[in-house]
Amino acid sequence: MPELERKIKDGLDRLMERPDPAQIVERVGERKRHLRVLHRAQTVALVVAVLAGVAGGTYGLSRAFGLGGSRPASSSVPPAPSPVPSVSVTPSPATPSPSPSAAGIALCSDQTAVVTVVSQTGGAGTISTTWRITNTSRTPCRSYGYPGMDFHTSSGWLHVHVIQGQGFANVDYPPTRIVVLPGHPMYFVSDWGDVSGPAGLCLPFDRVKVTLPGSRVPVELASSGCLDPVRVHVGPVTKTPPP
Amino acid sequence: MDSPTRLTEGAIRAFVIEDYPRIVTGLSVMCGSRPAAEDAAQGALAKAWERSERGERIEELAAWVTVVARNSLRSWFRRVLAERRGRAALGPESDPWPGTSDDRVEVVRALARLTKIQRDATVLHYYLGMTMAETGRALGVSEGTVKSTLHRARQILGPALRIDDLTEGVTLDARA
Repeated sequence: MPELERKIKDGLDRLMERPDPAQIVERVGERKRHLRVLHRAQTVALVVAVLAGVAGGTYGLSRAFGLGGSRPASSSVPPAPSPVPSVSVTPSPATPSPSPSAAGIALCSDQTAVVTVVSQTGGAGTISTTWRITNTSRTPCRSYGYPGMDFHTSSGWLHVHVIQGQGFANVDYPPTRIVVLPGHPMYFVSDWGDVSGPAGLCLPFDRVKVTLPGSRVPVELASSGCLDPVRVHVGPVTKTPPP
Repeated sequence: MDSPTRLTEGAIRAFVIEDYPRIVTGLSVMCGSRPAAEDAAQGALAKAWERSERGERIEELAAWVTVVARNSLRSWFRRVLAERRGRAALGPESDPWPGTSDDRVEVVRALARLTKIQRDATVLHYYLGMTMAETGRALGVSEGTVKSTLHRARQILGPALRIDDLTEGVTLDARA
């Protein structure tokens, strides 16, 4: 063995202490258990953080694309049968269609949709309308969430912020993802107040806009009636007519 | 010592008997404190054991523990260095190796003349038997830097330990 290496080894080996192995193993084992607990806690914290991030991201995306969102307070007057106002359909101006989804199915767009009224009932200060949106394109389209609505009066468009769900049972249920085949319809229900006087407001309107979920361009309809613009509830789009 | 795929308590016990004392002594020389070296070595060993139980393979347990313990001592060393500078202003420093004499003190004193990286490289390579490449990885430097560092260390250690023939470094370098 070279002299330098031997001197270093000999010199330092004489400093060496040989502790009780059992004691050292016990101490190391205790520290290992502590590390394991720490690691598990870190893993749990990481999983919670990832789930929170995913949930936050999903919520942010759903808000950004109008799928779901906050629900303001509801009204509490149940609908009842009443005379049906007349509604006719006119197509809106051409607009760019939405891009295809990851699944390869495009969002249902105003360009390829025809909106009609299936039925309308009224009573106790509320008009309840079932709307049919037919996919007129040659390909399936998808939809999810709540449509938007606006109403035109003698002083212009009201810029109504619809209340998503809540209120009556006919609009208060969670949205589901649907795929609409070519030529097939989807549906949604709207409820709006039509009470005049101190208890409410009823502004006469002559046109209605319906904006499909995820779209920014509405389908415009000729219509007539009156409504309280702060009491417009809409239900989510569904594949079959709501009961 | 060869490490099995999964460390058992028996393997840890064997390591403590065979390798642990020398690693702690080497770390003590590097940082100047045996309690700190023991604490770092035990912490590193616990980490290796815990990781092994989670399925991680520790190839060379002795080298792994040495490197991890030395890394944990680096922050400790910086803190102590500042404390020692403060104590030096008050009076002579206490002996980290009380009760030692003869060539033990000679070696410790000789090693104390080296810079930290020279001392660490010397201990890792000459005392703990790491190759040049392993020493370089442990110190975070290239193999060439290890060689030149050890060369300078030999130039200092030779006269201090009264060794005239320093060509042994060539023989030792061949180990890498």
